[in-house]
Amino acid sequence: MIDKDKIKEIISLAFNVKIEDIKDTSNFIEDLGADSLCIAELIYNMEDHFKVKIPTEKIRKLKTVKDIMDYLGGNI
Amino acid sequence: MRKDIFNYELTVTLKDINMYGTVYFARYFEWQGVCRELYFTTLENYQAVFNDIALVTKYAWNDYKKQIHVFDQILIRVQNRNIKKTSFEMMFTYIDKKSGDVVSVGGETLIFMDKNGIILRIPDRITKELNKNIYVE
Repeated sequence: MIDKDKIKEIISLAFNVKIEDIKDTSNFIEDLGADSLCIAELIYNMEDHFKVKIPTEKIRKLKTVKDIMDYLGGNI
Repeated sequence: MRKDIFNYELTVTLKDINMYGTVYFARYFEWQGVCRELYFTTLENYQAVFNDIALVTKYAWNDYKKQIHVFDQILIRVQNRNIKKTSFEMMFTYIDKKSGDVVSVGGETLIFMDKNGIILRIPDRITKELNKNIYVE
């Protein structure tokens, strides 16, 4: 079982947004104002925390909070 | 062996000023570029680090605090802050050597990219070096 609160906490730090503003359906760019650098920071923080390697080709498909939760849920 | 604080010294010359004696604002960014390059050359085996990756500027700024003039001698102190997994901010403090006044403060957010434009983690050995030289106001 993945820790959704931890995922939102990591997103909050990487994107510098409030946790309460992060919904499962939030799009990183359109809703949370992230840019490519924020997303890279997020991915590397997720990799380190959850001890998982996210392939580059997969990163491009991770666009929402739910995408990250689903990916981690199936890979850790 | 690199010192923990990296300083670069320059003298303002005629090529740096306009007809009113004001230093071109863009000149500061050129100086920062020089500082940045020289800072990294002080790292051991720096060429190996930069063989396959590029250092890219994401954001740059400068706060011009006091006017400087031709033939002023300026010391630029280079330090780092906001060191993250993928970026860090290199800080440049410009000091008038004669008066000791801080005449300008600048910063650049820097990232590393590979040849395909993928943002990379900052190499561990670089992060270690950056942390030796933390910005102090």
